[in-house]
Amino acid sequence: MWINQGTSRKASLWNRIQLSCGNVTMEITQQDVEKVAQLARLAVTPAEKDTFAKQLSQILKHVDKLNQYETTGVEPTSTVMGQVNVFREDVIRPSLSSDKALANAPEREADGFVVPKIVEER
Amino acid sequence: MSLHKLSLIELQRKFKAGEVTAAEIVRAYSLRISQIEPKVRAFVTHTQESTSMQAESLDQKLKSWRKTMPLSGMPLAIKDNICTDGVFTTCSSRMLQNFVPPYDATVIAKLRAQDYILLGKTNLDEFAMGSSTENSAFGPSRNPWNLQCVPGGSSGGSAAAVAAEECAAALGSDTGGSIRQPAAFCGVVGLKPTYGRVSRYGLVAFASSLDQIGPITRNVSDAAFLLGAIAGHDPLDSTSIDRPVPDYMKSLQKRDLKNLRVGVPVEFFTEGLDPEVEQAVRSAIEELRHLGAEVKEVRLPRTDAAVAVYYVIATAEASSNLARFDGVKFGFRAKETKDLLELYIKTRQEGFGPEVKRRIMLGTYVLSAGYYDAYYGKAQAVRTLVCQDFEAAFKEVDLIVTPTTPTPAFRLGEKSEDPLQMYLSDVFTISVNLAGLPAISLPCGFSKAGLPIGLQLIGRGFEEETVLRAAHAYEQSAQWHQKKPTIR
Repeated sequence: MWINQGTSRKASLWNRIQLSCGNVTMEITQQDVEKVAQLARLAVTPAEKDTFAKQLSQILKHVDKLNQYETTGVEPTSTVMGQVNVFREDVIRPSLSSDKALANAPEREADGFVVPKIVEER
Repeated sequence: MSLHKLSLIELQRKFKAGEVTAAEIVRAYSLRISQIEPKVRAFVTHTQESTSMQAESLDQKLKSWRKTMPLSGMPLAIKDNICTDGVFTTCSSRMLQNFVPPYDATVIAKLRAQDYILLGKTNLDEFAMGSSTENSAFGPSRNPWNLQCVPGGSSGGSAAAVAAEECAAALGSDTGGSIRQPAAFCGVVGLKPTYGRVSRYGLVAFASSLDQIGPITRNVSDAAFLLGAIAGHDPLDSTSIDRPVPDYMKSLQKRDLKNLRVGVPVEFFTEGLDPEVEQAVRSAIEELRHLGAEVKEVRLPRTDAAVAVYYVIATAEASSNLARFDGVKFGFRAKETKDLLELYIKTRQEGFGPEVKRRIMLGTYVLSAGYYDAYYGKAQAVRTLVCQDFEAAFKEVDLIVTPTTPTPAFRLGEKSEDPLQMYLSDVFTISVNLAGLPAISLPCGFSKAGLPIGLQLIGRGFEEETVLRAAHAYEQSAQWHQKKPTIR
């Protein structure tokens, strides 16, 4: 696809936009909500599933507007005021003491955070 | 005269001249807060006790060495998503209800170095997500002009506290209008600086490519004064820009607007704009012309897309930024979980409110496999078009003038059931964040029901001086800032 030039490449992009239009207008189902909640590490109650499905569908329908705008060849914007990556020397500087860093821990033991066991027993 | 009636600069002059002590200032504001706060509920955390001690030691220090800094003794309120060392920073969320930051945000370190006085932390929509403070886990703040109305959001607590004279000035943060919209609803001045003008270090991140801290004040001079105190490059925020901070107070000296070209974007004056708001803004534009500005129409044709772009980009960034709230190192942790996955899920389920969850879900969805290009990629490309609109307009004019909001403050509960309607109310402020530009909101009149109406002035990147100069000239001629609410 990449080596195709001119109209054929345009056509393929157009197909992609068409395809994405198809996705966009699709209603968000309760199954979608469940899947996204899982990805986001959230749980949803059956009532929330219903509300979120309706509200997210409504919001995404509004987002559909974006497809009215032709963006072929338009550079995406991720930063606006000419910011560039900033490098600095890797030097040791004063930092928080471990006591301060642990002060907000929900659960601590000595100089560590306590979490449920991660590694499973064989 | 009651000290709480003075503007930041008036109070500063009195303090500098030794006519008033820090302890007296704190006493006056403590009294004011105790009278007003039960009605307005602008604050999440009060710091009266530590504040009194702070004031006394400041007075002691100044006795032996009478050298004040610009913000010495000045009583400010800070939005509760800006980290304050040793003082609760909750983001109005159950997730951070007991969080005490071990460090100061850079803006706070700057204020502290000048011996400012922290009166308290102000209410916001949870994690700054909302336009009314109704999404606060601790209950909404009220609009001082009408307690049945919202103060706007997300910096609603800061704007309400300034309008109700519960602090001399405040800091807010603005991701899609969160300084300007509540400033408009509460009849005060709110300035969103250029992206990169003020350090975001220590501001709890919502949408990192859009967030910016700025002042909320009683008048334009105070905003210029406070901006000067917080602006500047910070090695701890690599998106802050290394360029000199001008003397913003100087930019106010020129009172006429000759040689200033002001653009009125036709797209902002369409259906959905409240007729009273339109009339007030049109009169303000006439006033700018009267002050010497050359007024002409400009076009920002992609304005219509801004809300859609914003709610893809902001939620995508939020879903990533809020992944850190996992119940491990700080913040809320759910009880009785059997494994790590359940710890994450229960903690986030119980710690976040509905709007935060909705935005995390939307952001996760638009970034998920198969949708990334169609939503996130597309939104970033349309964001470029929105920026190009402003670039083209700023070739013809030096300043763009619009209403800040389509309507005056709405009633509590009026929009809380309909997220999309709530999002659409940010239509006039959002594109400014997408383009990273500086913009101010200041009062330009009142509705028949007595609610304030806001005028928005937008400048080129890093041209806060032009924005402030025009805002100041208009304010001094129109004098709307003299009108104060009767709180009942």
